[in-house]
Amino acid sequence: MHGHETTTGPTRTSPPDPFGDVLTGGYAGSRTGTGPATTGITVPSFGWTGVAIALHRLQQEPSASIVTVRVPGHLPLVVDVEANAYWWDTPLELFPADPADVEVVTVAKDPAQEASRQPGADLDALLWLIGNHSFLGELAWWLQRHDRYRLVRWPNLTTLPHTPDQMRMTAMLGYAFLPVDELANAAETDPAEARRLVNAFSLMRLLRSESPAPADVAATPEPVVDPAPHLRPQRGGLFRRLRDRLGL
Amino acid sequence: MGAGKSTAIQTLSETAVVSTEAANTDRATADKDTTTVALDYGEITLGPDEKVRLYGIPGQQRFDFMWSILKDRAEGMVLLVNNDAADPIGEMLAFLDEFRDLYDRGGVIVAATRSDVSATPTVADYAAALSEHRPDLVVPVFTVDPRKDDQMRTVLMTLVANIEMRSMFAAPAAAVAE
Repeated sequence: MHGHETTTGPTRTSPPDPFGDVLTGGYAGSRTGTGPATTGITVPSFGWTGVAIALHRLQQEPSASIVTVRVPGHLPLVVDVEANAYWWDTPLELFPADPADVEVVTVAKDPAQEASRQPGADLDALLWLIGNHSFLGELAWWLQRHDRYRLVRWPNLTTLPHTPDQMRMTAMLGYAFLPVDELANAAETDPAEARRLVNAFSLMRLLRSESPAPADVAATPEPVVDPAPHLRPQRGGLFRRLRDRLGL
Repeated sequence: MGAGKSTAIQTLSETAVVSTEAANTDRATADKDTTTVALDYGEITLGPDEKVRLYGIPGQQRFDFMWSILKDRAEGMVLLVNNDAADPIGEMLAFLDEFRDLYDRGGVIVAATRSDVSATPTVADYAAALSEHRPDLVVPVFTVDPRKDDQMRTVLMTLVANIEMRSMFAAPAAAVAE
């Protein structure tokens, strides 16, 4: 353990209220037994979502704490948000994308232990993976569907596994404030992929946001099905031809 | 000098690179045998009539005649910055002033080399300096090893994506809608 625990013990994280019962199925200790009748839909495990929530909380309310994550089959992952560092024996190439059961514990830092710890790895690469593999392809609960997002700075893409669509969406977010639905439409990608990308960028603290006026939210048709003409993708452009040429 | 532009062109080019290197007489700046004195040239063929042409041009001020030839005709620029240099951020900003037109139209990526030798400045440091310089632009900043295919492809593809998206988002809707 790493110092004094601020929780009552190694607890599995609770699902966030905004997703309620959707996220509780198949989750030991959850409300499945007392919640609504089952629908026959297989609900994925909670996976990395609890870790994302714990890290986001520490980002919003900085404290001298570290997060310890236990994933079956792996040695513990230790994350220090304040130091933007993590320690894990598992290389990120072997990142378990959909672990069945994850334990998350937030504990106060132990100064003696911190002093003896080797320098950690840069946290951004881990946050990228956690952000892309949490919330089941839905928007992170602290983000808003109608808010518009733009990059503060680019992620260091040469160090992150990424797809050409993620690269194009990132370029879009570098130039304009966009709601997630409009981002997906403009990039002609699965909306879940756009949400995963925005989740990751949010966790990496690479986004700024703008909230629309309430009247604008009420007037917004949903979902957006046809992007503005100037936001239509250039699928036949140089990017596409170069991607094909390079076999990406 | 010493940022790896010749290596970067060699990594990306499908053809043998045409290089014009000469003995390095400035060992204080970069401890290597040769340095680019005019340019490196490589190509990527996209079709019978279409090629991506790659030019590596030297960074020293005395070769600025080369800059003026290319900066008006290039679609984009990857600015390789030696992270181990004395003032890499200052060098970056000075170059971007020289290539202001490309910079303004989104045709610039900053790629910091030798970050394994010197961990600072970080990409966030570069981005902060760029943001202060031009708050309206979000310029991609990556670390890169010019010897690595996948990293150089990411740099090139990002440059192209950035240029295309810049033209999409900068275009007045009425002009594009017709």
